[in-house]
Amino acid sequence: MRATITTRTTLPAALALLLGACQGAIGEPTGRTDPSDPSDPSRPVDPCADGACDPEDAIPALGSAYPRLSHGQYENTIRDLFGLSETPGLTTGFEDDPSGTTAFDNDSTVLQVTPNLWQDYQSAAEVMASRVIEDAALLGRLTDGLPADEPDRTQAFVERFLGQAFRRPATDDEVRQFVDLAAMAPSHYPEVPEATGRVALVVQAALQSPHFLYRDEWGDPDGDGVVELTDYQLASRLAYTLWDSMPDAELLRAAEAGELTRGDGLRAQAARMLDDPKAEGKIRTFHRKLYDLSHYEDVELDGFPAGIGRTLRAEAERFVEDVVLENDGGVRELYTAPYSYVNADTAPLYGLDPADFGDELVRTELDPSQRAGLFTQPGFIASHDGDTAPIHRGIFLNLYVLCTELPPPPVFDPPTLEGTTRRERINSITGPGTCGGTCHGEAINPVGFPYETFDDFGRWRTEDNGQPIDAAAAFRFEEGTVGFDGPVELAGAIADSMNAHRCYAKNWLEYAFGRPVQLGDSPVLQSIATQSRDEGLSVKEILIQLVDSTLFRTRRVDAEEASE
Amino acid sequence: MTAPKKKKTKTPRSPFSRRLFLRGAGTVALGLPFLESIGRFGSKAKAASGDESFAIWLRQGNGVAQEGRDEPERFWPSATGRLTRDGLAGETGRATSELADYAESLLMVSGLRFAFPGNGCGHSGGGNQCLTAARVSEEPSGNESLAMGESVDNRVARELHPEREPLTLFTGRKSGYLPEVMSYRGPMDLRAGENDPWNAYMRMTGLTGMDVEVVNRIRQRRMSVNDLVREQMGELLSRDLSVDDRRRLDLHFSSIRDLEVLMSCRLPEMREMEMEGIDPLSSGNYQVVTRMHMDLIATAVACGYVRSATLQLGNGNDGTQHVIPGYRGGEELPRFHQISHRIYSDGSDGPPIEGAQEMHHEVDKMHLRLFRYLLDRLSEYTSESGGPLLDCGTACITNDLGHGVSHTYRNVPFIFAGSLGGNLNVGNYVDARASAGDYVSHNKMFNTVLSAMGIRKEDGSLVDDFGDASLERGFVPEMIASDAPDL
Repeated sequence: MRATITTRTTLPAALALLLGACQGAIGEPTGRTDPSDPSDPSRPVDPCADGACDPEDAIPALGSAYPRLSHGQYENTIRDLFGLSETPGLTTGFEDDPSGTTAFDNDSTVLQVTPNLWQDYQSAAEVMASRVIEDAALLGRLTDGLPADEPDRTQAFVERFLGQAFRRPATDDEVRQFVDLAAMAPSHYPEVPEATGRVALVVQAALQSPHFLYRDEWGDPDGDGVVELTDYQLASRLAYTLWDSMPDAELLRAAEAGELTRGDGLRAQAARMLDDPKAEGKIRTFHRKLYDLSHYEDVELDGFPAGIGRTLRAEAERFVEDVVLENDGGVRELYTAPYSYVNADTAPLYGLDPADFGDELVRTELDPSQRAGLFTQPGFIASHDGDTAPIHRGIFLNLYVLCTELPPPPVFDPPTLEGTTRRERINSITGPGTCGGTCHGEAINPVGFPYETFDDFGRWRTEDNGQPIDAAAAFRFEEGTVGFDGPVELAGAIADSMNAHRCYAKNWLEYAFGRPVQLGDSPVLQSIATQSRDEGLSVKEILIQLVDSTLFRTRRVDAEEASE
Repeated sequence: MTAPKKKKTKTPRSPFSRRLFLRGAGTVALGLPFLESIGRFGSKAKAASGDESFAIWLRQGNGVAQEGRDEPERFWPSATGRLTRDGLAGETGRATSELADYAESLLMVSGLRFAFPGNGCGHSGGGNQCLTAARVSEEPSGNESLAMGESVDNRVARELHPEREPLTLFTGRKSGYLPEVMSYRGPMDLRAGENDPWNAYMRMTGLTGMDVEVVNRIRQRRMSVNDLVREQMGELLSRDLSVDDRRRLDLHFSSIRDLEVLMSCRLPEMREMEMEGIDPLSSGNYQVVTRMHMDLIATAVACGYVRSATLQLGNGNDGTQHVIPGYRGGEELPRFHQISHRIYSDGSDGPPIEGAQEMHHEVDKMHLRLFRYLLDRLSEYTSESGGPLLDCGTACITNDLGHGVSHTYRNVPFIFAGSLGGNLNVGNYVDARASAGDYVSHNKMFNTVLSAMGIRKEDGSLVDDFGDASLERGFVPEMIASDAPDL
């Protein structure tokens, strides 16, 4: 379950959170504790704890030897394995996966095959086998170029298909297993030609094989409990990191040639793959999930067309595409760019004349004194609305943009909000001198109040309930306490902070690697965050640096695995 | 200015039709006739022996409209003691009157409480404890808190059909805030609930509706494929693995075996078509979907597919806008969670909802009528020994709060139907405080039910230690029939 506090939060919960006693160190990196057993003598400490930090100091991460494909990865893999034009939709009815501890749906620490999901896998494999039988073009693609006669034909098909499905060459034993299975086609598929039945049977079994459903990262650890991934394991890890799908032919060729474990081979492949449309999908999905853009669709605004929420989501997604994919931008641009995409429906939210716009969202320069980046867009503002909006916005930014550790909320009886402006009402129970002052005074409210320059629709305003807006606040970033007045200055302060750049890199690591961040990741995150803040690292370069790190090339085993 | 309002959205259904899915499973389908050759389904259920017991748990959220916070009693019967059809039916002001037809099979238990406080969210903390009697996690907290122990449905499944997980169903659209809360495999291991009855049915029946010849061929193919997959899984399991990886692969391995037990139970074709066509996420279909889930549960239990099932009615803080036929002209009521707070707010500050107490009472009645529907379905089956199937097991409707407004964990209702082979004191409304003198932690209720089902500890003694280890052991004597054969 994602730990987001947005308008989905009930008032008591929001107030409970806002009155939490701050025990965490605000402004420090999130740095989840390592999931390994505390009694394990090999349990790592934060390599950056003493301040000095080099990416080479990163400690290989504990991780599964067999991370399961997420449902999205399964869909994409089927698409690419069979050369389909789009994902087949097989997972629509699959059993939901449990939520992990990241903001994403691919946390390998919780993905498993339950009886229900096994049944889903079985049914989906049978559907694909059925499609192979019924779709002559699909069957033709799978069997193109094979020898005409048996047994060479089946042998060649099995070797080729498994080489793709397993993301590595099949072993002799595996080929024998599948060839033997294919030989049962006359009894198992008597209603179709034997050659077709052989292909269908192999497909049906391959899609249920653990070598298809899991990524194989198993290997013999060295004396420090570290497994160096092989070329094929790296190819698989790289493909699912950047594409959420299987390696393509070029990547498998590079793996076969041993290029991924030599020199800049891995980096070169990553750069190539990031220019592929499949990487664009991964990048879009990351931002949609991290910033909860789907939630914008729930917004309805009185006086605006039905479906305005969808438009607000589309605006945010188009903005991200513009920044990240079309202009090679980075964190600073995402959080401060003074433009967005506007159409006739949303123009009034920006104080613009709708007559100047049509249905299509078009890039529009906005008033730079009012707008800067994603979080001054109406979608963010309107999806965190109501009397506790500053709290919701402040919590969101703390959790997902700054990665501030917020303590758990206490159980309490919510007090009554009192005051004229919204800021005054919230301050009445969370401001300095109140029991909620510590957490809210220092973390939540400071990054929530600057947005009081917007009404709940996301329109600029100068008064709240007849009183002038007070949008000034200060936040203690890693670099020190920074004051700001209004959302634009706040956006600049965020973009100048290590907090935001490390948080962004940390979230990418969790999504790209499909696991929660660990303490040993700190050197890599620190390096990327520093470059991102000081040199304006692009999002694509952030990804390249992640995959070109020790963290990516290795896996650490736990004491149990090492001792067996 | 009016605050922005949330919009209801409809989740798109599968891009391929479910009939196609069935055909896909069969490959070049030959039609969808009844899979009777391997079925045990029928009007007769399995043999009436000790292994016929079952337990079904329904959970409504937001508490019930019972006495508390200066509100009158609208839920429980007016007095403890013997329940009769006429007596219950006469108490029209009490929600439990809806169950009058089953008075002789009912065991209503008041005076139970959850033992542990929540951790920042009353609903989540209640849901965590509802079927677990376990502590609420320190981290995560708030609406994300989790139970620190397994739930009773999991214990039953683990003991009585370890090859198959308990049936875990959910009515309604899952919110991102607090969706399912009921079923736990173990500490902090929450099991997802299936909110589409058709998906659940497909999983349960596997290959329903196919020609026997086709089915046999499919079974042969599956066996051959499974042999291959098992060999590969065995090779992986022979390697050095971490504890977590071994656990995951073991689960996978056992899941393969589990599915080999093909399910043959089937609902009438008309019901299948209705189920296939329903939008399970629409709040307007809340009651229809709930009844479909109940059809599945009754069928699954009658066929021996599972002996443990849960059905969660609505989200953790259920915000369904109910429509109750015949009540208020069939208008859509305010969000149930807000009704339970008596104000137009999910918090503590908002304009009052006129008639909220009565609305809550009507929602309680609606849920009890749905519970009665489940009892109707279960009553259609007799055991092979000729007795009512309902007497072999028990179905319980409960809540994760006692009273909606206060979010109290005291006097959480537990209403059972079915005597578990004569072990439960059915036909009575009892107060667990009668012998204890104070509220009784509901772990003792679970101990009573588990033991009545024939489940025993490793040393062969009655189960008296379900739930958190710190809780006092024991039973609820008021729940045990005077002539209980097994207790």
